[in-house]
Parts: sequence; structure tokens; C-alpha cells
Amino acid sequence: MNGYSGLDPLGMDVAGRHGDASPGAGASSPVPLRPMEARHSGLDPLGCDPAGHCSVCSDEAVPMRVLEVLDGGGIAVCAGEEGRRVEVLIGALDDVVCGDVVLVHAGAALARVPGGGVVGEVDGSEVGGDGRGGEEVGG
Amino acid sequence: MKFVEEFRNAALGRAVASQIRELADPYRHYKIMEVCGGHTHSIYRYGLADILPENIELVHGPGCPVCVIPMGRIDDAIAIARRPEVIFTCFGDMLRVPGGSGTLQEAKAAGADVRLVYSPLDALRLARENPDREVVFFAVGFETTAPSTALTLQRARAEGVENFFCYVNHVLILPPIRALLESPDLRLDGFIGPGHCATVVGARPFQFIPSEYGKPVVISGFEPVDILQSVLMILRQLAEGRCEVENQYRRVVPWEGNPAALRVLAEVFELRPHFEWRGLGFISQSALRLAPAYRAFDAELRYQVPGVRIADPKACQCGEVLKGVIKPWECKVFGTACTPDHPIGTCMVSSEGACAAYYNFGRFKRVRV
Repeated sequence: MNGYSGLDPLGMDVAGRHGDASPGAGASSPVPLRPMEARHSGLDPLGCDPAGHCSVCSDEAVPMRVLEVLDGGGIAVCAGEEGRRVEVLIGALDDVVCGDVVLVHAGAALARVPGGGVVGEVDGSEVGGDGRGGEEVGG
Repeated sequence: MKFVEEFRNAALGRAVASQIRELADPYRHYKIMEVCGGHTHSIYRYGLADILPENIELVHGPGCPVCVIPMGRIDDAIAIARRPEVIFTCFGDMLRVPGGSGTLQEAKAAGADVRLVYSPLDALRLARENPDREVVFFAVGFETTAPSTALTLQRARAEGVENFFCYVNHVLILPPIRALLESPDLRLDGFIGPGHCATVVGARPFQFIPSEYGKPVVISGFEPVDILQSVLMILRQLAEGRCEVENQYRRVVPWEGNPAALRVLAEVFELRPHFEWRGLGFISQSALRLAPAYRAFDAELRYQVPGVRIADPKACQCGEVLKGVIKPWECKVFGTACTPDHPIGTCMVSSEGACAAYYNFGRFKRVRV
């Protein structure tokens, strides 16, 4: 066996048993893991966001929906979860079209997010498998 | 949002932690390094260390790009920022990183035109809006951030913008991992690999870690269940006697990376022969500089900079923290002389730095609470 195939958290029941729950059943609990409040929570007004969290330092990438492709394909207007519109460099992805959901870091789209990135039914097959998948996303 | 909520589910997190407890050998001490600063931040933000068994130790690696920039490079940035013709732009955390002659924030207070931007594209926009000034962007970050700089430079070149320059400090993730693995004072059982960096470079380049050094690697997402699942996958490899690269974050990370992004990087950048990493010293071919076709945008060639190598403060033990040799609380100045408001070492500057993560989330003591 080459790769990981054991755990699928999206198909797991709360006791951690695997395989007898329908896809998404494990995600049915409405209780999210809650982040702790930072002791030093962004006292620096020049921090990247009010929580003192730097998206660049954290290598954070956020999913955004493409609203409009500009300028011969080099830039797109995208909107994040909160609806704010920003211009994003899309030159590292081929054939970006309106409606795509892309993963954005430091103003550049690095990958497509499969499945539209909206709240919906969870496909348990997205996690687990042989650990070598994912070819369907990215540039 | 899909692919986010599922991986913050408390019941799932507890279930995975339960599986980890069942699988972990109680007579063995596991040391697992999370390479990326984003993982460090998530681990302490969500208190993940507390729900793992006592014998699983998470070691924080050199994956915060702010934390690895040496003081001399900051002084060079300040020297550029002080020039009257320059608008100096950078990401937020770089403002507070201490160099030998203060910080960019202090330079700003003293009159330098230093401005925060969220992307290099913002800096290029500033250059277009200020044709009588020279706009310099302080480019930092790993392979995740470098494509944004590269794409912006491609645009600047195509548009013929002549007042935009980059002070390039982009670093690569694989050379420091190799340097760590060569370190005689380090014992690790496996690596949680950097998810978004791997979005660009892919999971495949991490194969040298299991093949040459015999350590398992799991490329991981950043949500709490992602990280717990990655720990479980590493434990599974160890329990089953396997040693390979696995991709927990395959919903985003392709095995071969993003070829288009890699092509852009190859066009705009070339490898530096060597680069100094804070705490790790000089590492060969571990950073990027502009390729000859883009040298006209190179701030290091445009401006005279001191270029002096400055030793870290003696009291600061960022190097040992970055190598995972000591925990942040074991540093002599942690939480006393060195705090997020008055950082001595870079690991206390960025919220993704190991020391700041410990300090911010109240982890001052060795004992668990």
C-alpha cells in the first residue's frame, strides 16, 4: 500500500469509527473548534489584519470567487467570503473564467478550488485516498 | 465555506485526537516538526498541542519568512527606505522586525516614506500614481509568495514602468529543511509539510526527506482537523514501518505543483549562490534574486546599501528555536526582555513566529494547563 487510505474525517462518526457513516455524516456536528483569543491581539495598527495575523507570514491562502477577468487574462476582480472585491493576479493559472473559485495568496491566485468553495454537501472522497491525488486542481 | 467548516469541526477533531492516542506508542517520545509558520499559528490558536498525548511533541520549524530574515538585510531595507526619492512598501510584519539600526516602523516615524501594502500589485499601483518617486517593494516569503512578486514584475516590464523596484528576499523551503536534517543536534520523527508552499512546488520535491533521511512527510492543510489528521498520518507511517511523502491537503495541492507558477518563477528569478538565514547561517542556493532580464527592477543594484552582516543579539536564541532545539519558553529573554511589543528576536515579531505564538496564546510554562 503506497500512501494513506485510512482516515476520512468527513465520513467518520463522532467516535472516530470509519466506514459505517455516510459521507458528510461526521461533519454534522454544528460545534466548531473555536480559536483562542490572542493575548496580544493586533495592538499594532500596521499589522496585516486586526487580529495581528499576517497572511504572508502564515502562508495563508484564501478562496475567492472570480467575478470578472480583466486585461487579457492577467488580472481578475475577485470577491472573498465577506464580499470585498479585490484585483488578483491570475497569470499563474491557465484559463481562469468567471465563477471559478481560486486560492489567493498575497494578491496572486495559486490554485483552483474544486467544487465551487461554497457551503454544501461534503464529498468525503476529497480527503484520504492514496495521498497522491489532487491533479484536478491547480494550474 | 466548503473545505473550511468541515476541517474546524470539534467532534471530528476530538475523534482524530482519539485515534492519535490509540495509535501512539506510550513508551515512545515523538518529535514532529511543522515547517510552516501558518501551522504553528493554527496549533496554538486552536490549542491543538493540548489535545495531543504528552509524548507527542510538535517542534516549530523555520517556515516563517519574517523570522528567518537576518538583521543586516533589515538594515539594508532601512537604508533604502530613508532615501528621499523612495516610497518603501512592505507587508505588515516586516515593519517591526528589528535590524541593527532599528526597525522600518522607527524609520517611518523618523520621516521615511514607508507604506504598508497587501500585495506587490499595490506597490506597482503606487508607482504608477507617483511617477516622480521611486517605489520599492520589500519582497519576502517562500515559494507561495514569490509568484505574486514575479507576476507583478512581468506586468511592470510589459507596461514599461521605470520607477518600480523590488528588494528581493524570497527564500526557498527545501534547502533549510535539508540543513536542519544535517544538523547533529536535531532528532525528529517526521514533518508536517507546508501546504500552500506545496501548492506551487508540489508534494513531489519533498521526497528527498523520506528517501535520503528516512523521515515521513505529510503535506498538510491549515485547519485544525487538517493538522490533527496529518499527525495521525505520520504516526500511521511510523507504526506501519512506512516512510514516504503523503498529501493530506490534496484538495488543493497537486503532486506536481503548479507548472504555470513555476514557469513564471523560472522566468523572473534565479537562484542566489547562498543566502543567510537567521539562526541557520548561510545556506547554498536557498533564496532567489532577479534574473538578468529583470535586473532593471533590482533595488539592490539600484541603491547603495550597507550590506553588513550583523550578529544576532547574544541573549536571543531564535536560532535554537528555529531549529527546534529549544522551546520558546526556554529562551533566556522570552516574555521578559523579549515580547511582541518589544521584540528582540524575529520569532517574537510575526504572529506566525514560534515565540509570538507561545506568548500570544498564553503558553509561558512547561506544564500543561
